[in-house]
Amino acid sequence: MNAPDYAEAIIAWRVWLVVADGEEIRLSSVVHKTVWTPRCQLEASCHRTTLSFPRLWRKKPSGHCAPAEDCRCGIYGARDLERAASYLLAINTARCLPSDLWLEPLHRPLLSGAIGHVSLWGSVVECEHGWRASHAYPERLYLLVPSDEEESLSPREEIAVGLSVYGVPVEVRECKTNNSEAVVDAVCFG
Amino acid sequence: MEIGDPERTYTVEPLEDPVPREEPALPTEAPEEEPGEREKVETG
Repeated sequence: MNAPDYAEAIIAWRVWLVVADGEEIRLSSVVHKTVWTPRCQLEASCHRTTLSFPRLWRKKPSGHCAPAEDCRCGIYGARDLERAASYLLAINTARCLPSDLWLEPLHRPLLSGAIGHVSLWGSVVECEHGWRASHAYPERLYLLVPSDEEESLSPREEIAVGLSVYGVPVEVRECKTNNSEAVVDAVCFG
Repeated sequence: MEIGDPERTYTVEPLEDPVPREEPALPTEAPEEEPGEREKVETG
């Protein structure tokens, strides 16, 4: 048995969807719509499938443990807040497009997006701008509310209360404009 | 999210659990002892 290379979880930046799961409020991954269970680590699996010859309509799973270097699987985290902030804004726009084929359909009502720190550990593939890991759990969450939003902050506050089941800090921050610099300012300086 | 090409793979085993597991239940107060038969105190 090999000794681990590091004894502290990697802290990276990440984006989640916030969804209603019945009466509960939960975090969901953006691409594969995996719901993150409170107080339980998320373990990665590879969702990639290959066509099985000769029965081409049958897809078979990739068969490897996630993450693999030569695949794109694993639980993602970015090294820089700016990269995650751009992604948060991109998915908000992309979700409005009917030809949005790269996203799995969302089966739960979408309440919000969230950005924050994620702890990554287990088997970790370090990449140029971040990591893909086998295990993950949120470390800190930020809910951003536009400053020109007419409604009061209370819905976001209610979402924050709902997300408290994860047992990590959840902060509601006002975000002045819809660009990544404003998201970075809101997260870093409130 | 685009994080670029893989550079290396390693293992991370945090000494401290990153998951805040279920908070331990608050200790319940020990049930009060059943009132025993009162000692008879001789008076007079």
